[in-house]
Amino acid sequence: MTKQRASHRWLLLVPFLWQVALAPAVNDVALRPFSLPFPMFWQMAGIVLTTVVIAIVLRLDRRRGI
Amino acid sequence: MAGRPVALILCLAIVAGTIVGALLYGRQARQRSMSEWAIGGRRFGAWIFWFANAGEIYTTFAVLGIAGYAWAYGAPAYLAFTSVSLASALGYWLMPRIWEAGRRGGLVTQADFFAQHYGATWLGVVVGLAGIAALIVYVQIQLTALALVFRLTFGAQFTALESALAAAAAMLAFVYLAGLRSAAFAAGVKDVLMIVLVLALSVTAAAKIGASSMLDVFRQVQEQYPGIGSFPGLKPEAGLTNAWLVTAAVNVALGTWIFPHMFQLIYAARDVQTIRRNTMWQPLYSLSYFFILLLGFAALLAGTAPPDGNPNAVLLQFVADRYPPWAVGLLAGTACLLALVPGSILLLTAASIFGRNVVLPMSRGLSDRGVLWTSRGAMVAFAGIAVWLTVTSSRSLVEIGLSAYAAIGMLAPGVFLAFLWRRATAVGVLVGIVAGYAALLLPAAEPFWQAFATHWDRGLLAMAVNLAFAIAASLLTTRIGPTPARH
Repeated sequence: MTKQRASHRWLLLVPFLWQVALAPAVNDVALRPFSLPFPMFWQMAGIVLTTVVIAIVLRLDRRRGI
Repeated sequence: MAGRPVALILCLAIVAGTIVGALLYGRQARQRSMSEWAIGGRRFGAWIFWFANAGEIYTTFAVLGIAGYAWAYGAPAYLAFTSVSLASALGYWLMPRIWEAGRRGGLVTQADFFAQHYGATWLGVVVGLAGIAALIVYVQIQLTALALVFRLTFGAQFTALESALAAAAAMLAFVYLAGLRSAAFAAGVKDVLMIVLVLALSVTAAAKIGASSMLDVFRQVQEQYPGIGSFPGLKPEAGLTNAWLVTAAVNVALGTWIFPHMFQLIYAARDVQTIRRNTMWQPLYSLSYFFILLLGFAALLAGTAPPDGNPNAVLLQFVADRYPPWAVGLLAGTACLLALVPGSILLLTAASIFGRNVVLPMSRGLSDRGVLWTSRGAMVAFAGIAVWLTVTSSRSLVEIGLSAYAAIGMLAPGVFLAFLWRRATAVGVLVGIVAGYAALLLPAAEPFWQAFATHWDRGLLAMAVNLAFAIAASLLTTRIGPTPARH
């Protein structure tokens, strides 16, 4: 597994950016999507995002035969 | 609780039915060997792996614990939303490495991994004992919940000790009869039951408390309890701030796969694709925490008053107050399985580590069967310690859970360094573990954390100390034993 071929694995950090690093930044957003508190909506969106990100990485891995 | 007989009979029927089904399912498998009993013969395909994995994630900690946390604190319960997705993103990278090492080395336990990678049997003994300690704390969570269900369903005439003992006995009986394969089947049954039940309760909860829809529950709770939806939640004095969420979420993600039972579950997978696909789908399942939070908030709006204000009992109390007895019976039965099944897997893991990594190195020449029976004997002792912990402590399920993660986090640097840094040594890992425990447990460390990292998760801080010492000590020591295999 050379460094170059596996560089797309860094995408796996995106969920951490969304659900952890950005969590304090969205804590006080007053918006209420679907009546939900914004930070709660944000975390749920983060879950869906994680599945999408892993799906992309899985696909790229398969294409590169890793 | 009115209508107790109905609730009681349903509860018992669910538990008994699942156990019988699980035993029939597991009977086809050869249970004679350690590797079949503990890691399912490394043949777990997509479905059974999914349920075994989800079964370990959705325990009483997740359901009763998070509902109670939402009721008591509000926003801090969002920690649940981060737990599965972050662990999956990390697991996509980490789990195949662990699986590969397990397959190549014929490893059964997590301590095997340490002993082999670092070329030191003694490190396997140390890691084995540390892993068992963390597992016992995790069993404590399940016993706390199970004893609570017993007391709320069967009546308060039982003391806390009696209910905890009964809970432990039920768990032991299940493990003696079954192995990992049976447990995975029971995990599947309880997950399906739980999802159906939680959905049914969520759909009806709004009407029970005079809200027009599920989303209306969220609207009302934010109106009546301003600040509940964002950090620090309902009780700022509890210190559950943004800093707490960030550090606790990272600590949980880093610790999830380090639990010895999760390690063994990874070994049990048939191939890498099974693992990768599982990490892709598993996060979506955690959207179901939406319903758990909904029920916690509904209980708050309904003015639910659990016995002794115990947040662990909120969900059961809410259902007992507002639903017919048969619904209480269904929930009690499902909650029993939620505790019983993961609890059995935890005991099974602790026992297999004890047999293989603590007893075997000290008495060579013991047969595979001999180790199996020593393991099973040790299990009773571990269950006993867990009962003692359960009876002497009265913390919330989430708090006990976070201390289990703090304990297991002590083994994380050794695992990550094994894959990331070839110079890490056995002595280095040991020094890190000792330093980490000191940072976690020494009373002298607490004022320091209070001053410099007030609301940070103590487990993550201790893990950082552990890592720093492990790296420093590795640089100072030369490797003991043979050069490890490259992963």
